[in-house]
Amino acid sequence: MPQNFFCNLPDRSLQGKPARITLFVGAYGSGKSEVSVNFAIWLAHHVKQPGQKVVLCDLDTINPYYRSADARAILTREGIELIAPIYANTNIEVPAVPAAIFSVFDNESILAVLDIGGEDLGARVVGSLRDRMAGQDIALNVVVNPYRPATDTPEGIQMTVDALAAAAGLQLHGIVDNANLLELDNQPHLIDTLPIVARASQLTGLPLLFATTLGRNELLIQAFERLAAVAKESPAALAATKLPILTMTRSIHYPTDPFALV
Amino acid sequence: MSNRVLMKGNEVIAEAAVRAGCRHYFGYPITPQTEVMHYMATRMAEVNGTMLQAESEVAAINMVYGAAAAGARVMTTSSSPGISLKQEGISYIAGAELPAVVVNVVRSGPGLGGILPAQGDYFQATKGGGHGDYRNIVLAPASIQELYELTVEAFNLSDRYRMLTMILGDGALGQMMEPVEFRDVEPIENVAKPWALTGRKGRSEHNTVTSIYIEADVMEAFNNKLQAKYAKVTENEIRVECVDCEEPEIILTAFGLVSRICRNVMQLAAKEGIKVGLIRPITLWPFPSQTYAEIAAKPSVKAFLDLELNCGQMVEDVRLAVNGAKPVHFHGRTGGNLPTQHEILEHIRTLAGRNA
Repeated sequence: MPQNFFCNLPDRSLQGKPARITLFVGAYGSGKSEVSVNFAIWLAHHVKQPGQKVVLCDLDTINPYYRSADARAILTREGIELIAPIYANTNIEVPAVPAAIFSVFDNESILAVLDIGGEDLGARVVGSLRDRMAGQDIALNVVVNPYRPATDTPEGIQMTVDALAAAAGLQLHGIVDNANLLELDNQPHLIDTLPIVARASQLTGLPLLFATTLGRNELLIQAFERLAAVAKESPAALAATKLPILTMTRSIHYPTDPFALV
Repeated sequence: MSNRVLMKGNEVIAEAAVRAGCRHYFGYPITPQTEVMHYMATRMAEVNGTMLQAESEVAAINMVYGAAAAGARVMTTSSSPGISLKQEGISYIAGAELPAVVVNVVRSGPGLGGILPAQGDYFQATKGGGHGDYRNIVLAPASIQELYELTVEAFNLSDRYRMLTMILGDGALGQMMEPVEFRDVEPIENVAKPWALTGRKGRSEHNTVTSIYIEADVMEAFNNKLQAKYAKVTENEIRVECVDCEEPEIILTAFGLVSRICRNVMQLAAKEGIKVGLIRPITLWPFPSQTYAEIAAKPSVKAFLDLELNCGQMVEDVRLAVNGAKPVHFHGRTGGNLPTQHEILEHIRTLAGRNA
């Protein structure tokens, strides 16, 4: 049974019982890896029961850079097991699907997050695992950042979703709104672009599962309240104001973020 | 909605080229810059342009030669080993005085090297690379926004001087994402190209694009003409950013992304009471030698510290420019590693005599 998320008013933090195996696909650079890492941390904190463990699988076969294996130290600290290609984060570029991935299908005490590579090319990995996923409790979610050029319109998001679903060979479950410009306070950006993502949700028939924010959740709550006050005519916008929020920490960048613009 | 979008350096190179009027792109895939070609495959179709994956880097650079000779705005991109393969073509383009844009998203070397960021191609970019007495204009952006602006400017400079302009980036700049706004940097210039091979069109003489001169005196006259052009570029086109260079104790100098690490270190040093300035060359050729000489003459300046992702390349130009007025030290990292803020600060403390 795929997840049914809700928010815990008034702080809007993500609640619910997710599928045992959650996959994140998306356009190139949509933030799949960052969402995967933070979703795995959320599982470890809020969902994991005694006797269970959380496993994050880095299945990005598209790009050797900025991948969830970069967050190895944080994941270890959170007690999350990382399954990644042996050459991830080295000078060798041989992205391959690690054999250890099959353990997540066989071992029912594992809560798994699968971080899939970008675009339809990356989503083909899902197709290759389709037989193993038959009958499993899985949810295939698409991560959308409306500030990325290919997904900055509802129609663009719809095209992306269609291409990903075709390549994965599986029905998508829902949309994660990861609106951001890689800045700490993404709340205004999230609010500005909610209508685009909400419309894409209507066009694709995929529910909007949750949104992400970096840092200060309370600003977002205030912004949602202001939005709710003016969104009474628009059911889509009003629904969006009830969106659960996954508060994230940036984990995938150079260790000391040396390039931060001052 | 904000006018900014979130884009990766490689995507911005491609988008900037299209916005600058480039309608011909020839390339061959190599990490860490393959996204340029990926983006071009879609984008060139939208603007009725040509994106062609050549059979090799050598083929791609010669396709650039052909398109440039016909007067088109044209670009190729690659990474270090691929740029080495293009050097013969680059020399021919210089010899034929053709405008073209070449982007090098540098990876670590020598040889096959690695896919992580480096700056080991400074010598190759600024001192030749190919054969003969020629120069390329070399631009070194330090952010994704500047990558956009300088890529557009590269096309303008190329057309204005009939020269090859190279963007020297690195693997991190190509792969990282930052917000970018595609504002009009300056009106895209439409330089007339009466020399281009577009058919005789009723003229009494046909145009010729060549780099072969049979007679020694004619060849020498051509070399002199090139040198006069390079002198004009040096006079008009030097770009450099100086930060806190009024009365500094220590001057950091770096190009590209390393300059951003330096900016953070400058704040840390200020907290310890060490006044640190930064000279960031934006044009690596022509090199801003005069700026270095002027700042080296300031009585407050004790020493220069040059930082690069190589074993010491730009530092040779810094030393020529400083000309012994002050000591010039070097701090380099290679293999894809970056200097940490802490290790740079340690070096600054030593130079400033502030080590406990």
